[in-house]
Amino acid sequence: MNLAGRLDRLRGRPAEQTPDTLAHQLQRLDGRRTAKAVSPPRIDALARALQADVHGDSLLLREHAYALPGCQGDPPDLTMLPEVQGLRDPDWVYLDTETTGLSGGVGNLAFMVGVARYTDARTLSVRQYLLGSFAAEAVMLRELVDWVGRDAVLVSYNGKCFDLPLLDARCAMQRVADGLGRLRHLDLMYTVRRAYRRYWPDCRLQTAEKRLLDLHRAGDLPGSEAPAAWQAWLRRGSTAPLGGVLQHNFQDVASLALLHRDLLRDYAGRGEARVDHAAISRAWQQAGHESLACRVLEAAVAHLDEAGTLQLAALYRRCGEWARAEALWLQLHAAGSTLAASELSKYYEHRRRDYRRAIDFAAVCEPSERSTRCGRLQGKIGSNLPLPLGGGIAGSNTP
Amino acid sequence: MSALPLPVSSEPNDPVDRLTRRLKTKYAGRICAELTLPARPAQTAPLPAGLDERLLRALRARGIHELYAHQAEAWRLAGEGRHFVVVTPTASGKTLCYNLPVLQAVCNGQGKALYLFPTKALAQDQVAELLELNKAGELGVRAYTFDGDTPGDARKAVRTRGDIVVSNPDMLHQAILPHHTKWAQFFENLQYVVIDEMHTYRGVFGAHVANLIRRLKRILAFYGASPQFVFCSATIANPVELATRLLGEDVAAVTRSGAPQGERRLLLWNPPVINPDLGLRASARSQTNRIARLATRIGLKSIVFARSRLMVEVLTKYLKDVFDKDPRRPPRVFAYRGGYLPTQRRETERRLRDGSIDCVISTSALELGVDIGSLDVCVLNGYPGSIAATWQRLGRAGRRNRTSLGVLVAGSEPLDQYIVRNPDFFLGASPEHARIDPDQLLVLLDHVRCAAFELPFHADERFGSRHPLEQFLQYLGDEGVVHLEGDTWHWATDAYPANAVSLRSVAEGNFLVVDQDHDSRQVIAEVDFSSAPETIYPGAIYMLQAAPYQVESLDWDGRKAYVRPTRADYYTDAIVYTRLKILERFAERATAQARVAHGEVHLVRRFAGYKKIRYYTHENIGYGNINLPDQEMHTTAAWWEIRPGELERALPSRQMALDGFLGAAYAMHHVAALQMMSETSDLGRAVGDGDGKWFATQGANGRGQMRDVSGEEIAPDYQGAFRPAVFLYDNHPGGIGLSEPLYARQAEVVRGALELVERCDCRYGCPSCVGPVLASDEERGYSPRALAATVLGLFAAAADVAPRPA
Repeated sequence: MNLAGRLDRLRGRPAEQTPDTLAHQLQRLDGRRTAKAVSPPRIDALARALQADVHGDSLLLREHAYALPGCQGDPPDLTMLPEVQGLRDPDWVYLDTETTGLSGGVGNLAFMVGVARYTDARTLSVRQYLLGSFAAEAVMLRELVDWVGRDAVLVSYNGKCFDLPLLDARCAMQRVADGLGRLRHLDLMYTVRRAYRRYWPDCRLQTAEKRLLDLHRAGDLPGSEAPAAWQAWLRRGSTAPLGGVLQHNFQDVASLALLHRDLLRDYAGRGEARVDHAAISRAWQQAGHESLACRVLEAAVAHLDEAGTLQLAALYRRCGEWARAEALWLQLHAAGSTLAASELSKYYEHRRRDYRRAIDFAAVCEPSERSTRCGRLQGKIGSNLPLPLGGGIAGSNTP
Repeated sequence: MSALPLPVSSEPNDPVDRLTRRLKTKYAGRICAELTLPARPAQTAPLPAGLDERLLRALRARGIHELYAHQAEAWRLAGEGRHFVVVTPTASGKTLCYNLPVLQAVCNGQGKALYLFPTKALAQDQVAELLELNKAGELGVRAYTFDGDTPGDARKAVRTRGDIVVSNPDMLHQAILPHHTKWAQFFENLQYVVIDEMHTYRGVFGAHVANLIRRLKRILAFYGASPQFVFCSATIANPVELATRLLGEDVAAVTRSGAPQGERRLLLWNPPVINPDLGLRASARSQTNRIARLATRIGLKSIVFARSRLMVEVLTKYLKDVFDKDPRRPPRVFAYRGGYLPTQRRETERRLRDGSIDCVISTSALELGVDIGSLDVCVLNGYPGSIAATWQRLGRAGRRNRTSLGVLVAGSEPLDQYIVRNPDFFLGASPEHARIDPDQLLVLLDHVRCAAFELPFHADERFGSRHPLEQFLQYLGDEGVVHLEGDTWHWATDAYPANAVSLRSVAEGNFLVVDQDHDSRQVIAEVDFSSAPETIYPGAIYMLQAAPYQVESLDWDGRKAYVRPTRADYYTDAIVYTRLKILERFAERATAQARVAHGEVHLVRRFAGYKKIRYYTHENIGYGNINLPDQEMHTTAAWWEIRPGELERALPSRQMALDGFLGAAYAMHHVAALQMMSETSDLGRAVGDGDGKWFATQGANGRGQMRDVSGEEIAPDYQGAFRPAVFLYDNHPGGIGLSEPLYARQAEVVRGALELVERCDCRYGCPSCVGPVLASDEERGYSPRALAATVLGLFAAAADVAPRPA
């Protein structure tokens, strides 16, 4: 029995009805000849079907200008996100790949890469590379690295964990120097997740498209079917599914640019509901932009919960805007917040040195600090006033 | 690690001496042989010239002023740029053989090293030792473990900054090679690959590791690296051969230990005969229990090795009943085996090292180089199945300057009896060959697949196998896994192949044992796939640290067994039926009387039910059903048949033939394991027709029964053609290369079995020759032992004829 038959049997598969070995071998040889013939005629057919150009032997390239819709007035400042704030005149490059597998590891490659950069403030030039064969990969990676250049700022969706490591692994395999991993990189997935994860069922790109851009793809080929489309081309020369992938990838790249612009609004603080303003504010604060951190919360003050309001009050406190901070704390305190009472107690003790008021708030503050705080304050007052009994006393003392 | 020659003495009041004297006076009749291995002084060599200053300082700080001879030899071979294998006993300072050249290379900034240990625990021990040297000499060497426990954010640092990365084959297989570009910098500078505990890489695991090394070498070539490979092994017969097969290149050897060794005593112990008619001896268990009790009472630290997890639990219970009666005092007796959770095992290891355990009962799990400090006495409950494993286990007692005692207590199995009755065979025999078949088809196919993922295959590339690579690639191409373009095969599917390949088995998936009594449904143990059907069927008593749990339900697909603590006074033992069908004959030899062949077979194992066996009395107190899917396996086997006419002449009734074949199979199985130098569990045995139509088992009355496909008993005389055969099969899916050498040595197997049966002391047959027989056998009117001898005699007649292809 031949090797294939033995393997089938060992693996518990129904033994294939193998004709005599010679015929089998001939069939194989024949299959091989077809496989080898990934040749100009087929590539040309694919290029025609997709309206793309052929580079080298079997790399396809399609280039389109894309006018961003709804772009009136002054172009927005695209660096107004915490991750890229302060960059000077960045050379944005949007990037998205379609790969042969989604599981990671060096065996998966990107058979399609879409990249785009601005030709003017309203227009993108979108480039899509498509491999017509494995041999085209090295050519593509070299062209891609060249086109992206050394100073680009990449913008992707989940590219930090997926697209970039994969491209870099393949660059290493194809011995294309450098790769893209060293470039600055804005991964919008993190930007989106920070702002919306508390409110959305998931943060996939298409969810963001629906909820932020009101974009509903019709007849789109799901990304998970992309690997099969390329396999269908390799094995059977099917061109149609790849057309769908090309369209899908184009939309992905365009969405990146649209999303990038759209996110600027919530990050600038327009006060919408169902946005995690506290998280955005924290990100701005970490990026050293305290005024924006404040503005985001101020705009949303109607939607803020206890934690969000405390965060805003803390920002006011840091900037020395004590009156504003106190007002927020009092507002929370009136609603029964023990954390706000703690803040008020500290404020009256250290800032206003009004120990009696401080002790009133201390009496209703967080139980874990109540006794130490009260004890210390009593010491400062220097009298043996009985401990207030808690409840609304602090409020009744308001001048 | 000290190289100082230490004085070796055995004081008159040495407690080990006292125990030995006591055993010898009290139980003289049970001791079949005694061996004393004299103490051995150290053989040393000066520290080599050219050693890095810092390294020199580190060694001196740790009290090392010269090397043992084998360490110096390893240094020399490393300097010559050769691959080499070091084979010396436990605790002989083996690790310095590779640590020294590796640290030298790292200190000189010349390169990096990858260490592979078979388990995570051993890897962690190793890093601890490296760090001590590092600290002693302020070497600034960065040694890290890389395993499943390495947190995600630390992995990058390991890859980019590690000078020495300590890992295991599973990680190399699943996490490193499939992501090799992340390791580019490490691989480019790799100068040494160290593979310790090499003797564990045999059988299926060994075949996988050999292929893993093929994959590693491909990746290394891609990065332009060609590091030296250093192997370390416990004593086996063929270290150079094994290393060479694992590596696929020539390997030099360092085999003479220069380390000192205390005096070692060994007693071979045969339990007394308690029923001379049936040849029944007292159980090995009772003897082991007695010796361990004596040793513990005298205040010696002892380790008991048992052959099964069940026996570990039974012995632990018996010893705990004696020494750990008082729950207020810390326990003195512990069990250790696979299936316990890693944290429990680490805890037991720690207690062993700090000396707070007086007696540990273990399976082979403690045979490896896990550091457990020094022990005085080692008791083997039954022959471990191989000479290498026997010495390896005995080596756990006794370190360099103290006398130690080992006692091998024979069980009633033929191998055990053969060994205690022929002590010269055992004492004089070389240890076993470790066999691997790197070209085992399924294993090879798995790794060709993984390798294709890691780098495309060029059409004229080789993968070190004797099979033409192209056929495998074409096979994978037909499945759509790879794609041929020009002269290169590319990975062409969306899978991550390493995830689907387990290095430890050909089958898949461990079972978790879940204790339902806890609110949290705590996982208390793991059971590997192949032993699950016979250990965790619903109704089974599952033992953990001698505490019995009853299995309430088994979720076969979800791989979970749900158990609850129980107070049962019995344990359970599965009844397994095996039936076989011959698929293809590779070769055969035949005479007018008999025929022997080997080839590929399909076997089905049915788990028919289980017996409940009461503790202490070991009486059978009931049966239960097992409702599990049959387990199927394709593997290779050797088999023996007798021509029908000849069989009728020699054995007038079919019932007698069945009894004869079953007895012959029993003896042959054990002799084959000995001849093949493999463990009994690597081989399986069956009696049947080779068509899968019927098979034979021993019934409750001790007589052979014929059963059909559905497992129903059928009457032998009312069947059509009757062509029984004895099968000895390779007990791993696809086979791991045991059946071919078995066929080649079939003459020795048959003659050895015949000798075992003919020379036995019993009258009708006993567990030491043809398997247990019952008292009622006298009424059969014939002796199972004589029948087996007749069958073996006919096989022997075919044994010496020239072979002919099938």
